[in-house]
Amino acid sequence: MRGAYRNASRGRPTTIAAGLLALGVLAGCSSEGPAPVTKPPYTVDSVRSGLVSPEDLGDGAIEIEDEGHSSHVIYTPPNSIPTCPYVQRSENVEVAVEPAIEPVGGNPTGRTIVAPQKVGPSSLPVVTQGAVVFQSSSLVDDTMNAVVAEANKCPATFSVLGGPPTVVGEYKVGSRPIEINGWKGFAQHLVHTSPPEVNPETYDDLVTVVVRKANAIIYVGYTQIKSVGKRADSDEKVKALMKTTLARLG
Amino acid sequence: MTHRIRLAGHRWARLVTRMTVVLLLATGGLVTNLASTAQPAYAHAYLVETSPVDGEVLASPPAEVQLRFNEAVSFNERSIQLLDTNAEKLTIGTVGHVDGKANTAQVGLPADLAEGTYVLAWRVTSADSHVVSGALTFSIGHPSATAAPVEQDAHRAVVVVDAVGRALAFLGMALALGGGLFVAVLWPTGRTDRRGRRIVWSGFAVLAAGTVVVLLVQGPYAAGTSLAGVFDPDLLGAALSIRLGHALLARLVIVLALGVLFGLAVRHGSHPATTATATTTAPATAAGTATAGTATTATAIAEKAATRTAIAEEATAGTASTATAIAEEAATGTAGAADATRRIVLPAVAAVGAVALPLTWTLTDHAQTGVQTWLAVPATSLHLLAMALWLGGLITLAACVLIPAGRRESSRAVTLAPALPRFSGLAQVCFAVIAATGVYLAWRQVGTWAALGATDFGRLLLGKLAVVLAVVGLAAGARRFVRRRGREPLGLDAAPAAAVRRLRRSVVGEILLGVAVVSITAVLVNTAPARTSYAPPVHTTVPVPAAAAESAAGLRDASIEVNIEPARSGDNVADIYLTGPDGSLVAVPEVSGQLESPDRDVPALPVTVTAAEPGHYVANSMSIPFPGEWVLRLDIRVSDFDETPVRVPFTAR
Repeated sequence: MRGAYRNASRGRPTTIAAGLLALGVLAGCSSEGPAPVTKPPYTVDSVRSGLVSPEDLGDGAIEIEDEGHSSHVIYTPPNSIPTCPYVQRSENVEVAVEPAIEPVGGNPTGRTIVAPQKVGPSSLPVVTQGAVVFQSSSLVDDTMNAVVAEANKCPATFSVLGGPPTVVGEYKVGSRPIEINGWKGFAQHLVHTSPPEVNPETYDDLVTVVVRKANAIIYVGYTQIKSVGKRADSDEKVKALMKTTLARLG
Repeated sequence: MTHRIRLAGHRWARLVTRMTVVLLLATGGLVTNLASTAQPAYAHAYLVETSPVDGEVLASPPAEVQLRFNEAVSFNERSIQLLDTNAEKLTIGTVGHVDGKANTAQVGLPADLAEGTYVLAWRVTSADSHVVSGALTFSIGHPSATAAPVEQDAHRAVVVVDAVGRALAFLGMALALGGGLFVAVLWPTGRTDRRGRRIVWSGFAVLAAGTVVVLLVQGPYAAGTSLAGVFDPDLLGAALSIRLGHALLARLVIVLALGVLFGLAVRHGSHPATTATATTTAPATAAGTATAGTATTATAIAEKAATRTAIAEEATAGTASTATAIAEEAATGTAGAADATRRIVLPAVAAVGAVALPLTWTLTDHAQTGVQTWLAVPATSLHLLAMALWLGGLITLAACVLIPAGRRESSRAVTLAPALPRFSGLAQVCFAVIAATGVYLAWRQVGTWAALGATDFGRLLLGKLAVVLAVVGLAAGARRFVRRRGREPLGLDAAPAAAVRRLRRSVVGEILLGVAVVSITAVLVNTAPARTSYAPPVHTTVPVPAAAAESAAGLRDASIEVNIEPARSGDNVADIYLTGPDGSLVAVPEVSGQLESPDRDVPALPVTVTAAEPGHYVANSMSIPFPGEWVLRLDIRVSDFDETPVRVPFTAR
């Protein structure tokens, strides 16, 4: 019997080591992320956990509920999903395009802004975000299709000639498909450069991500002020940020 | 105490060394081969050339559309569809080959096509039996709004059922070949064991069922329809007319032939000569006694049969003595012929069948296309055969020998020797073959290290490697048990019941992991190889031409950085940065682009480039019609009057 036990004790490390090795290889294949706190179908409350919080953005960020419509230079309804920001201020757009789509039949979370107290070229970005959840797949399909169709109409370039100095200038728009943790949609990149006589030093680097999964649509606008000559990197940063936040939604 | 610690440390050191050797063996070939600069190679068919070219604007409707692929393709009447601007399907001609060339497809178009943009969607079966699809657009007169995208993906249920069918076929082959070899050759009393025979017969049944499932599903898979089309005669006929259909039919014939051979072999199992041979090879154990008992019974049956024959002869001839003599002679002659059949013909035909069976996979899968097919086909066949012999033998060993031996420890009606050591030796050979061929096939279908983590195929392969390593760990423990116990005077059957139970658990673990490997493989063979699917993004930098630098001061010593993703046929995004010597971006009035093919007679394709932030220009929908060498020509306007062309060569997968 002693021999048997000895043999058994020698066999176990082999099994354990093989198992650990196999797990190690498997672990190498899988990407780690935070454990989800909820899963589809989403509710208005549960989908909020996938939005960007001040902690996600960094020290000094605060969260504001966006209720003061009248203070907006570019007004869009707080329950709407952005499709072509700033375009409503443009005078030279030939096609009819809406800056945002108001979803039909959805329950919105409202719009929140996570931002630093003072915005500048070296400050934290400004995140404008919200989500809409639906009760049926056809409603969410229709809404997402409408948003994508409207965003596709957004012109590659347009100008804003009048109005507050902060919005005057040239706008360049580009869009790419995006997929993060199973959320699919598009990332629309908008660069706003002011006239040289107004502001030759900086430009606005805004990426609006609209993604859909299961019965929810989430949008996140990520804006930075960048110095001219520096590369825009909002698309990379917002993707990295949303990889973390959307992982909480499962 | 110190001695024990040293001993344990020594064991762990040996263990780590062994595992390292296994890991190195498994990856060594990859390291060697992946380090080499491999030329682009493709396993699934891809489109090489089209007429009209994707995105082309024509003055009048083309008479026909021609597609040229890199390898032979097969199709049916639904393989090519033309959609108008409203996404309505238009009636087109019959699909055929151009001048009989198997790598082409052409279809006639209506002469009265109105002006606007049309989508031509295609879906063909490549030589490795996988369906590939795509679409191209062309415009007549002027471009218009594009039709809705065509649904190109196969139905999910079809893909799942196809994968299940392939997995069943793999498992069935393992049980039929591995189980058959174990029952008929490795295990002396196997031919008379009902459970062993049942396992092998079920293997044949599962293999045939899996093959039929794959055959039935191929039609809907190729046509892109739902499972409802499984029994559609047109689709079934189309499936039977292609190479895969032929291979599946051949597989069914081979399964039938092997089934007959196995039936003959196990029927011969009751022959005296068979059991006599078994008795001589088996040790003088209780099992030997049981075998002798079987032999006695079989001999008696043979004698009774011979007597009946003799009586019949006697009735005919009328002379008892003559009849008996003739009957004895006939019996001896028949027995000799039967023995020769059993010893030579049956094994030879079975070996031919066992070799031919894997070929029905390898002549129609990834092995058949890409680089080094002359080596890939035999290597893949050996890989499959070794897997089948190991897994099928292991399952039969566990079900017929290990589990009964563990349960009946008091009576010992079933013995571990000689079946266990014989199988252990076979498994060692199988693992060596699986490792050697597996490393080669992994290199062949992956190509680069980066593709391992970046593609579904690569990730599946890593998962498979992980499970195989776990199997190797368990198998090493079982092998050590056999060798250590085999050296002891009383042999394997003197092993304590607890040790046998542990061995049994370990083998069951091996089986479960082996089935997991088969399942992963079933998905793997249906996944585009990483060599094909992996498209490393292009990151390249070229200097701004001196002429442009002289025209604009900010461009002196500047460079142009171009990033193209995913750098493969279809839609791509190109980011163009004009970077000054200090790394800051430099804006110019305008950048425009064209896509040129240096080695094909294709007109330059327009690329829409728009500005992003100052110094950054983007082509958001740069369409690359087919894989190969391309040049992105950028015309950089540096002032109101000066424009400089810059050519950026790159490879699209």
